[in-house]
Amino acid sequence: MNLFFFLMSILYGIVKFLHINFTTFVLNGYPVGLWVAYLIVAVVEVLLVFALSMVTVIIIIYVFRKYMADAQNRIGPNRVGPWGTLQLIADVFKLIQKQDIIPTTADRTAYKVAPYIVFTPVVLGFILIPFGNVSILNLMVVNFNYTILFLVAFMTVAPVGEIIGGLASHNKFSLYGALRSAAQDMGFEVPMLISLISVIVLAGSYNANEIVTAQKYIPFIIPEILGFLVFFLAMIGRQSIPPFDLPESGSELVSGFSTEYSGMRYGIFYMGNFGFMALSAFVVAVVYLGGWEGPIFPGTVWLIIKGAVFIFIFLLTWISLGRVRIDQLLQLGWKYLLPLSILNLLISAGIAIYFGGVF
Amino acid sequence: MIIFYILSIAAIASAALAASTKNLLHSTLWLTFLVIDVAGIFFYLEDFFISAVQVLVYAGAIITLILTSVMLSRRYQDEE
Repeated sequence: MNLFFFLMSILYGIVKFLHINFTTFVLNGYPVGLWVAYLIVAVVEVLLVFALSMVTVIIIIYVFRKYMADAQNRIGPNRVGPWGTLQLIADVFKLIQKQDIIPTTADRTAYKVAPYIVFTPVVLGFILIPFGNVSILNLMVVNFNYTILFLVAFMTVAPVGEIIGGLASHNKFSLYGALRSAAQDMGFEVPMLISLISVIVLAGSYNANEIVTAQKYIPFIIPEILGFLVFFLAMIGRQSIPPFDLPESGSELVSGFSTEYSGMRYGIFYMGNFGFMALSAFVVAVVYLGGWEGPIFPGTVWLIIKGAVFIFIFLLTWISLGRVRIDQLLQLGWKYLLPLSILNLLISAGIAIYFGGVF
Repeated sequence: MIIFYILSIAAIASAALAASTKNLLHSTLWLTFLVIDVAGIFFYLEDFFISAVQVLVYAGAIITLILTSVMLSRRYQDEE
């Protein structure tokens, strides 16, 4: 766990502190104290976002377990804390106490590194989401051009950790899981990016904040319903939740790439999955539903409402749909989603040329 | 400037390790670190687009392809 926090802090540091250039501060004659103040603000912001992502994950896992129990006619967690709300924290304590088993045939270094590669980009993605404004306070941790590109870039890195974990385990089932994860990753990455490009064409900016402000009157889901469907399906595919949970598939591959993982290493994979779910729900809300734009309530409330709707839809697909086969999944990705996303790119380019002033 | 030197030294070291490590999986891991390091250097030079594309294309796509080919290579299968 120490290594985990160490890595987290280093990566946060690279993204955040590179922005505050020490030498320019000194050369321009600003006092060093100002730089220190900036640094403290940056650290506090980053810790707040980290806490926020963790709290989101905890809430999602609780809601998921209750929801799934409801659908399966069970009660769900109800012993630890009021209505079982503290169940996840108890689970985390249990996972920390468990023995950390590493198979003798496994590749030890790669085996240890893999969960962090899954988890770190997910939490890094949270600092790039525009959380909107509470009266005058603008809740955006980093704001520069190309934030949406960075968000998607972090989301493409996460599956690499799954592949490395599956390969390092030296186990037939894990190898199958890794292979499927790679195939699925490549199959859904391209349509997702192309449908994102059409949004960027419409908004005329790579900045997530400007993409949100471009949807002040008409959210992008209306001119780009095709792109929304492609992006949404690709997001479900990238999270590898049912019906596209082929890398894990509990009943045939014994949870695929994470078969050999136990204890807190498995816990990090688990939290990374749910964090990815929250992140992708927020990204869909920002890109297609207008993020924090909305009447009456402050922006952050709107973003959370929109994100929560998508999280519920993801959970609903999880508990209600069966698993597709791997060939059906790849067919969906390459034969249907890719042409649809290219068609959508052409349509949105036409819209941008003829009705460019609307957005 | 200090950050630039740290990043470049890390990049060179991980490139050397990626080229010299015998284990294919480890060398892919070092390559991943190299790619992310280079993205950090671009970020430091305030070329955010190239940095984002570096992460997106290299760390996201190319590393996945390399891992797939490592998975299928005979060298890796023999180690089992």
